Amino acid sequence: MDLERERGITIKSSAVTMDHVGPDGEKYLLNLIDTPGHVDFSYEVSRALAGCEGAVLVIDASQGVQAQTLANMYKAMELDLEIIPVVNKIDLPNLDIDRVLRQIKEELGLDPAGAILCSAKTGAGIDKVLDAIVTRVPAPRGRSENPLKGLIFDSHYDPYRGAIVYVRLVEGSVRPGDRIRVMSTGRTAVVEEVGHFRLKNRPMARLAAGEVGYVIAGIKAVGETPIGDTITNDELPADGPLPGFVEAKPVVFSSVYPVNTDDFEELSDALAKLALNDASLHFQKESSSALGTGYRVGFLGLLHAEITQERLEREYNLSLFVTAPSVQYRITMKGGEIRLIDNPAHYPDPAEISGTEELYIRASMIMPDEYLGSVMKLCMDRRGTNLRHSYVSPGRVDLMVEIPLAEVIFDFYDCLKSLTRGYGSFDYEILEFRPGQLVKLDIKVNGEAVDTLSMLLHRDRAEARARAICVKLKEEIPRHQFRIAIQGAIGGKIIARETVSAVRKDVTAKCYGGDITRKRKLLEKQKEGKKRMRSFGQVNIPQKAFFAVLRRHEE
Amino acid sequence: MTRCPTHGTLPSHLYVHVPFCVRKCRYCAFYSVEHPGDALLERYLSCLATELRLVMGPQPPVHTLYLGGGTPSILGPDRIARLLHSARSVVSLAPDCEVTLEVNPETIDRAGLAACRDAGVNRVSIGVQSFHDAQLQWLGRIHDAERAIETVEDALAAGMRVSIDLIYGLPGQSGDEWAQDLERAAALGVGHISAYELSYEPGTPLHAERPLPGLPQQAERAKHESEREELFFVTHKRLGELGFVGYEVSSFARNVEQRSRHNLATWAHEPYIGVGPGAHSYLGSGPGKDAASRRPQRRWNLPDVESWLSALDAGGIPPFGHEPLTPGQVLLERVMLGLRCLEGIDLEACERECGAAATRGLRRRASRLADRGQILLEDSRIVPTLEGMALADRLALELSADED
Repeated sequence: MDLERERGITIKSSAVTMDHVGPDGEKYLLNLIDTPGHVDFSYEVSRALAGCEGAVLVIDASQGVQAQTLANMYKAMELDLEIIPVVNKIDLPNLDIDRVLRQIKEELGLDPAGAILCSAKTGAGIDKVLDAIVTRVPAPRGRSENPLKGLIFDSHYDPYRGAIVYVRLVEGSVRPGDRIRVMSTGRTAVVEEVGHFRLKNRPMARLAAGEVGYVIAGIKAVGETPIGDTITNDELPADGPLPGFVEAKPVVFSSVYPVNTDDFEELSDALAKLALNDASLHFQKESSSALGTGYRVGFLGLLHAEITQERLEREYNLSLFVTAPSVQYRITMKGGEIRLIDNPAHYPDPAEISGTEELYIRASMIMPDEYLGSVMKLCMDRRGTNLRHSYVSPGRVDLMVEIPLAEVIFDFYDCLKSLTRGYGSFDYEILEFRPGQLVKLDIKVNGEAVDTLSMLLHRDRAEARARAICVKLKEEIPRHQFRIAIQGAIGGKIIARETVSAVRKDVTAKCYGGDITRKRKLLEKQKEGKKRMRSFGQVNIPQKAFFAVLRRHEE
Repeated sequence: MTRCPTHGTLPSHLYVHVPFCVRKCRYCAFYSVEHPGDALLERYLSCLATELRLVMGPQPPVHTLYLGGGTPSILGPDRIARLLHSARSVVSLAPDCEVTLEVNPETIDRAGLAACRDAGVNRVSIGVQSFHDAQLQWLGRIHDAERAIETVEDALAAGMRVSIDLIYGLPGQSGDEWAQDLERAAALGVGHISAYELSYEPGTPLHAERPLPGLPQQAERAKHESEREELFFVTHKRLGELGFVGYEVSSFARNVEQRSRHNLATWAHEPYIGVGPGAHSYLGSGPGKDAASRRPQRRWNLPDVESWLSALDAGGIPPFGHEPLTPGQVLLERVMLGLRCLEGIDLEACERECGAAATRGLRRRASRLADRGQILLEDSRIVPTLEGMALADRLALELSADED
């Protein structure tokens, strides 16, 4: 993907199978899987790692160890993988390699003597990396004779072939003509082709235990072969699936509307196409009086949301409006029913609610210790609890905090970056729902709630947010023939108010007998000019006002 | 108001325009001539008597007589008395006729005011404008605050109803300064205050200096506008606290007796006759043969002293313009004027003059304004709230919209 190259990140896993002659002169078949590193994709990372015996932990020589380095290392350790630390980009000038090696020792607890220095760009040290894989990573243990157990670690959609499923065969083998079964759903399909990932996909007669490769079986959508799931042979099934499978659930939600309402069909089409390749993308049609018809989309995280928007715009040439992200809340009704709600429109009558909960995460932030104080304050301002920190190495701390997800999805990362002058890194894991006082904030314009601007948020945040929105709207709504009251309200209670004063011209000037004719003629002239104006009476809120209030990035 | 089956509605209000000033104020768009000499004033007086004889037919007594300007007080008590005498010789004044004289401080003294009272003036409207000398200077007034106060006290001492004019919305004027002016007026004991927002009328020196649209003045202008809007509400609130009722957007009276009956009549579409150069008349539906000629009309003398004088010297009526009003125009006027008044729009009168269909449309459109709290929709009236009054012109446009 262009996006990956531009940003220097991996969004989708890719895999390659290569031959390598080891230092012992033997010929080895290496299966390499490149995973994303970002926390949004941590589930994919963990599934890809589950398909491996060892992990090459790549550290950017100029950046050093980051929060996500640590997080991904822990994932590899949990799976009991052999970890080979590799310091990449050593071709860059002005590096402090010793510092990075110290971090490997002190922060990762790995032996720096085992670290390999390389440059993927120049090729320096790559042989050593491959040799280390051969000598240090144990060979796979599965047996081809056993019933088939293949771990799905990714899949991608090909318009001609359907889903191309990326698998690691843990046990057994698979060949064209076999009927396979996806174990979580029970869906079966006949295998059309199997093969290795070489520079191009190379079809093979079969895939056997220990190998990584692809399976094509006439399955249409990647959603039918969920990541982490297990494939087995339908006639000779395995006793059970591989461990660790969970369904990817979106945690961040935004509404996506085409800026040009005529583009809705194209947006639908584009989302459907993206979803073919991205099973974690959830979307549902919604409509707003202000923005037209669009979709409520669930994402794995902020990066996922951002990438999706960018791909929709770039690959499908759409101009989109994406609302600020929000999270899901869990609402317990008085009758005991539990509802998960991310859309303010579905917020039930508060009288029927017995309790509300919000999702918490455990965030980990690694930074030079001089910034600890200000970052702790940021966390506390954002309702963080159970703050604790430990020194990962002299002068560097890892600050751990339990904090509502809602508090980090807006601009938390930007704040962290600016407070730490770019040195702070961030990672998180989802904890659980915890009680939180949720309210629905309505924005009323001349007494009428504007559906598009309603939002769910924590009570403590409501006032500041309502004020900010009212001020923003006041700037953006043009003057009308009447005063416009802009209010932020929770239920019947007004918590913020601004007024847009009316357009007017010397109304209270005197009007005596001699003035009447002149004044009437003036009105007649204005009436003529206003004939085509339809917004008489109603408040006309321009779309850009919605954009200003709802857009993701504060300017 | 008298309705005559053959002659339509006859005017019972008389307006006399006195188009002379010592010096024109920088904001004033009314027709007037500066520095008139005694000879001109005498000639004016005799022509006015001629015009009164020519235009006033047999008719019932008038209930209000208003000497406006210009600066009527520039005539002096003697000529004012003669003017009233001329009027009385062609039309009888009702026993309780309201006779108003517009007065500028600096043009009349205590004895003069008493003399006017003796001649029949029972109400004076004094152009005070401000109790701050710097503002008076900026407006181009010839008096200072001290002189204005003196004139007010003299008029009150003469036992006449006293109204004063005050202007707000001057650049740089603070809300506090304005409130001081209002408090000062109330403390003086006047029964009526006309509080106007300064308007930049085309053709006035002030208009040339008005804040123009365009950057960077635009922001300043918007600020000025919203400050002026706030002053409107300050005015109504403060005067209300001081015991005045705003019975029209810029007219405030301590009680019903203190209201300007003449102005109320013009706002309520009662016919009136205006004489003098530039004076306007509103003639109710006439005795014509067909609908078109029975239409009510507005009529005005051309604002030109010379042609007015020479026509009347020759014994003819002065040059005039006139405009018969369509029912739609009458409705627009009723809406436009009604929204400025506490009395509101008289829907029965609308139905009578403009038809049932048009009035139904008006009522339908009004419900939207009622929802916004800008008017109260009563059985036979549309009554503006204060918020509605502040936007009278715009709402008039909305209420009289042709399409829905």
